[in-house]
Amino acid sequence: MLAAYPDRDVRVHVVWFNMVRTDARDRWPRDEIVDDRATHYWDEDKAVGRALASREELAGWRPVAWDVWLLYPPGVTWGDDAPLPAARGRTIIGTREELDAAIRDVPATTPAARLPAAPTVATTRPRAPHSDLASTLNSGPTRIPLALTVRGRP
Amino acid sequence: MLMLALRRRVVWLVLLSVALAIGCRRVEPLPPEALQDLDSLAQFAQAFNDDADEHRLLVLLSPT
Repeated sequence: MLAAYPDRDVRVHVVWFNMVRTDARDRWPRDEIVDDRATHYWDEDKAVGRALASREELAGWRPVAWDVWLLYPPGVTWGDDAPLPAARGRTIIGTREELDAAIRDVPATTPAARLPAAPTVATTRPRAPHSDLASTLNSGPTRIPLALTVRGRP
Repeated sequence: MLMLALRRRVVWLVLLSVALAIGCRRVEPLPPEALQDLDSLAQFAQAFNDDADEHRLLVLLSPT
């Protein structure tokens, strides 16, 4: 999804942490969310997720905000409390259309890039959950369906 | 008729090959040091605020 909008002027902060038994820092998927605008953090104490979930407006994400995205406009700063976003979603896969729209609405850095992005065609190849996530965040406009069949073949 | 069917199969096989080549392309993984340890919430708040003149997308995930 980020790849579909390479000129959107957005900084991406990706916070990773343990949530399920199989999680570990050394299992960080290094080939997901590969984008020059993204910075990756390992939050052993889940401090960011807890701070967000402590907001009354985000109480539904308690005790730790996880598998979520939040978009903040310029000017918003993180003070004593976590700031409220202009748009948000949980889960990332379940709200990918909203996430796509939110990124699309971010102004582009150059006038040429303000042209509408090409529509993304979702792949129909079965994917593991994390591949879905990678597809959601990294997919570009050139994806094509892979479920082709050869006529006359069983 | 047989030749036509054969041509169609060849075209489909070419399309399939191209689709697989695109679908299987790999993204170059980030180096391990690209994952920064957060020692405190204040450290993250500082990084977040350093980009306050831009839109910011915050994503919270677990590795698996």
